[in-house]
Amino acid sequence: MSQTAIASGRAPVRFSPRRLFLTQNLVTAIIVGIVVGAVAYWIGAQLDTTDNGNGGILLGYLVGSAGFLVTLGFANDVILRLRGRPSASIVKTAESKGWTEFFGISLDHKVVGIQFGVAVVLMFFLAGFQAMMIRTEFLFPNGGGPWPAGQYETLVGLHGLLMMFVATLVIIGAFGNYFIPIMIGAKRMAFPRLESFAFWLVPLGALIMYSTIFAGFGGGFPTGWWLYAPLSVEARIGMDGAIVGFAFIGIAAAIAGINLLTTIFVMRAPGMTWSRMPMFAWAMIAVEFLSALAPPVLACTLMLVGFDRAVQSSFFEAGGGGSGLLYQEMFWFFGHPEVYIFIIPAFGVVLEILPVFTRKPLFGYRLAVAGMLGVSLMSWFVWNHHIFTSSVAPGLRPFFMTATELISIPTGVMFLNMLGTLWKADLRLKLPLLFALAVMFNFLIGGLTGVFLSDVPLNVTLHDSFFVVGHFHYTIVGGEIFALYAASYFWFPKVTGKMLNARIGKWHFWTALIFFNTTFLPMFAAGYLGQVRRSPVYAAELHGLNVWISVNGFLFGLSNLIWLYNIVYSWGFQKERAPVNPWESRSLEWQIPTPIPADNFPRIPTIVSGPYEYGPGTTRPIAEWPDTGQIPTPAPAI
Amino acid sequence: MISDNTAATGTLRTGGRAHSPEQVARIPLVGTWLFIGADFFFFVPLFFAFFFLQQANVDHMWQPKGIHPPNLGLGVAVAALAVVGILVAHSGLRHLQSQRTLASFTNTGRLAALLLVAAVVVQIWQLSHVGYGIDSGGYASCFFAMQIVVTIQIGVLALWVLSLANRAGYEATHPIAMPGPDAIEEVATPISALAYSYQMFALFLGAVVLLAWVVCYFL
Amino acid sequence: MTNRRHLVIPGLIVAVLSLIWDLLVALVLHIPPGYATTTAADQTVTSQVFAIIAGDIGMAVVAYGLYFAILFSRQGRTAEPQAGVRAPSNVPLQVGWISSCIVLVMFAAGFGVVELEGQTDPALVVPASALASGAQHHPFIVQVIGQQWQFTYRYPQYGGFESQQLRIPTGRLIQFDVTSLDVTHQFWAYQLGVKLDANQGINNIGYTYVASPTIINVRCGELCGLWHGYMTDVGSQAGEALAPAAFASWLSYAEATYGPETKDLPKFALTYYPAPVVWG
Ligand code: HEA
Ligand code: HEA
Ligand code: CUA
Ligand SMILES: [Cu+2]
Repeated sequence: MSQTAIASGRAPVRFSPRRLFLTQNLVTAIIVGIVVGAVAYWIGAQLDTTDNGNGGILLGYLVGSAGFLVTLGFANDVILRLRGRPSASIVKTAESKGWTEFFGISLDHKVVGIQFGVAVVLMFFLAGFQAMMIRTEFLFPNGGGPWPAGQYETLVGLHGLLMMFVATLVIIGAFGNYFIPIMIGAKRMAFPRLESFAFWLVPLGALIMYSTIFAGFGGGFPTGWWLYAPLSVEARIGMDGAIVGFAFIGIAAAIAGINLLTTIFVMRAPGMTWSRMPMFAWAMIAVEFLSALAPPVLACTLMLVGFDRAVQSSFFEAGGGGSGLLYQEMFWFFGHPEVYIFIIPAFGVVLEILPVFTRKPLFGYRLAVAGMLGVSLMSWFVWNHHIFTSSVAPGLRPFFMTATELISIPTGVMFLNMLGTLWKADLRLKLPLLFALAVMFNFLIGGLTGVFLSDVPLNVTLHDSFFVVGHFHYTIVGGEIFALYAASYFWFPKVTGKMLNARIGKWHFWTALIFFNTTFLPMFAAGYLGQVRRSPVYAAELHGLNVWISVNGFLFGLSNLIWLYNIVYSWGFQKERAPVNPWESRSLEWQIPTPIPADNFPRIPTIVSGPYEYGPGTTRPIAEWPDTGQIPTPAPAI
Repeated sequence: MISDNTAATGTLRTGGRAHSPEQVARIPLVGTWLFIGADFFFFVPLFFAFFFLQQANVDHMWQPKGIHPPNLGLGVAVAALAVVGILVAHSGLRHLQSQRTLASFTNTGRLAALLLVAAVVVQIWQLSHVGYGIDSGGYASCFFAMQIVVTIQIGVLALWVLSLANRAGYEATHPIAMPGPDAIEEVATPISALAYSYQMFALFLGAVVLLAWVVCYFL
Repeated sequence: MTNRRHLVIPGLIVAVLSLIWDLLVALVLHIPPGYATTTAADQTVTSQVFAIIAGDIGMAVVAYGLYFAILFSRQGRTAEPQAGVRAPSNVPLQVGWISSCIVLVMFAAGFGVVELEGQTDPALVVPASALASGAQHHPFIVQVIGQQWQFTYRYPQYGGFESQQLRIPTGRLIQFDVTSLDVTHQFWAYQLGVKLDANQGINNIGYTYVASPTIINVRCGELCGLWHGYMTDVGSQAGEALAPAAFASWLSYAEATYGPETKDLPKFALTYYPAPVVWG
């Protein structure tokens, strides 16, 4: 197989009905999934001894999903292995199959990266649209908005859960899968089939979650993204889809975590020592330990909720010997590491971008690594700060308060890295850098307000108020989503071969930065003034404030549309091709041609120097490329 | 595993057209360690729930009247079958690692799988004859949930060891050729690497089975 | 030396801005929830302290970051390679940064622990000055019961009668015993600076001391189902802390009015276990 054949575009696909309906593809998978799911629902409903209907629905969702995944082809390799055959070669199948590859199982991590990126950004806009609906409700005080109470809670829950999908997987799934193997000099991911499996759980989970709004009158689910039991045990059938969908996010995140970690541990090219790893790869190590270990806790907890709903076990119902506090403990034991799953990749993006645009080595490389690993480790010991008022272990509150505040230290290290790297830099204020600086600005506010919340007396007044909503939108939207913007401007040329338009980008940057802050900053005030979250009802005095937030929220939404427009325009309609390495980055992914060959490197390179050796007098190449005739020699470790 | 791999270490081929066999063989090992970690955390809520609810004894419903740990005999049988199955596979695989014969593991492996399946069957019989259901209070919920999850994993383990047994048979007749110096294709992972990751997981699951047994029947 | 100048200028800017901010927080801004009770006052003071610390840290980071970004920006000038910029780490600076973070964090944590003691230890909730002038230390107990979607209040020291309105006396240690009949609710008495989750089967205890009469807005803070948003009681009829005399007359009125119905209620208990409800 010649390299050029792979690189030069996608093979044409002929349409044939037989191929469409009789082979394993997305269409047959959907059909089988629905049919099998419906049958399982019917059987489950027959077996169910109660009249709440949960057993059948849960069974239907699970069996239907299994049917979908098996028909798509995820069981093929398992069956092969059960028969004792070695599984099909990965590199061979990495050959491009044309555009259909994006609608099936692909073993090419770059295809999966794009699948993740497109699907998750679509979900971001969907959930963002829901945020707009939430803000519409707040144009009216005292619950006078367009959505009745029940629908409002579902709206918030869907917005929250779907955004959890987005926040968990957008950087890891899209950029992690796409770039990590290339950055470390590997030809593939460690587990390409699992990688694709993780991806397909995402649209599946999102659809299941959305299907809950059709669950009869007042459908949907009333619990927000926490799914707090006993409410989630008692809630109507819409709840079942939320449980299954949320569990799917967890499983997808855990698989992605195991996969990326194994890739980084095992597949690095010769010479890619720990001290030569790009910051983004370090961020993936730090975050994937969380992502591999925390979501299983969630999956198990949700399974127990499912048991409570379907077969009347009593884990969470006090009437049968259960306890809602048990749920809260288990949920937040997952939930806090989960929020660091959002931010560590964002740090990775920022630290990756800074040296390129300051033309300086990263300040305090080792410290930054230690900081990220420290955040990752410490995030296991703080979860009770979400339930300070719940009467769980009141005696432990000083411990959890201190532990939470201690996390500021490794997190603050990132700010020292940033300031130190900016110092005496040769700064190029291009869009990726602008967004990276905006991440730092926004996250500073988000992080410092987190310290407010970690103080127990303050948490008593601020918990479950809009102050918390402000805090986490600052950390997630201001931190992670802005890092997503930065990453998109930075890596777009490598993925698509086109630059994102810089003029439109400037508009996007300034509108996003301004309207993000004008939207979410007043929420801190609203919280102090007593506005309860997840409630369409607020005091009449807060009307003006809420209208202000809503209007600015809409403007922030429009700013996102500018971004979307830029992506569509630059990808689809712009003629000019981007240079191979427009930012003059040293990192490995920029040293290879665009579009990237299907197996990344015809021959695995030997890494000979670190990724951030910018500045005058650094001419060491990052790698030696065997196919250019150079004889690779091992380089001294730095 | 996490040592710096410089070009000097022999496991990595510089300038290879494919990842080296040694590198590819490390994938299942590292992956299994991480999977064990993830699975461990999957079990955490089950054990945590047990102790939390036992401690809280909400409304005296931890073990309401008439609900007590089931008859020890069947519990012993399940745990023993599972553990023996795991050990049989273990010894067979050790044997296999010494490269004496692949074909004989085909039978040892199938025997191990059979033992594990027997554990699953006895468990199903036990769960349907405890005399109470999952809806009978805190203890019953924890007991059933824990045993169901453990049993499902024993079942998966049975399939896993079965796949190894079949693989041993296949490799006995189709030895994996070492790739040439400049091969494009990666070689398939050899059974020794697969067997080793299986054993790590099997021993982990064996420990969980025993722990779940002690917790459910004695605590 | 220019290097030093670039460190001093932003420092001066920060010093000026922080001073303005600190004065603003300490003297001008009215940070809720105010001073109506000891717990609320604790929260207000803590807010001020944290706003000062966080504000100063934030301003310093932003000032230096912006200053560097503008100063070292390449826009408008050609890049001239500077010698000595390659130093990738500066160990004393790193140690200094981390140690000052540790100091700040330890201060914040210590401050929080002390304040927390003052809120949760009944012996410390009533201010010493009030005790000296005869305030009662013996707690006045109110049981707060949450259910979908309302709060009711029982007064166990007065026969366990039940009221829809929250009334508490000033000048006394108040103890709230919070529980729920169904899902998790949350008793948030805004002006009191009290927030306690109401959990099925759990008795969640909190204290406060009200110095002077005040209206109490009660909201349910925990998502508890469809009408969670409407589980609020605001305005003077909802909740009130009354001066002892006014409270005594309300108490005799309430005992007379609601007392007879007490026999229809479940016997007073710290928690109640209804059969699980399945709604919808
Ligand atoms: C990206 C996600 C993200 C991140 C990174 C964080 C970071 C932090 N969070 Fe946040 N948090 C959330 C997402 C996140 N949070 C979400 C989603 C929720 C709510 C979920 C829900 O209820 O629905 C939440 C809720 C939440 C609560 C519970 C609120 C409540 O419900 O009552 C608390 C309480 O302690 C808290 C604290 C913190 C702290 C202390 C940090 C720290 O890590 C911040 C550290 C950073 C800094 C402090 C700034 C930089 C540091 C320096 C410049 C050094 C100098 C500083 C000092 C010495 C202080 N968070
Ligand atoms: C990744 C995480 C993420 C992101 C990106 C967002 C983005 C936004 N969120 Fe979200 N939010 C959460 C995570 C997130 N949120 C979570 C976890 C909760 C808690 C849920 C719970 O309590 O259970 C929450 C809750 C939450 C609330 C609280 C509701 C309540 O408690 O009552 C509010 C209220 O204002 C809100 C608003 C917004 C807004 C305005 C945006 C904006 O940033 C969105 C901007 C994007 C777009 C708008 C999309 C682009 C535009 C279009 C598709 C076209 C439409 C445009 C117009 C009409 C102008 N969010
Ligand atoms: Cu009760 Cu919200
Ligand atoms: Cu947290």
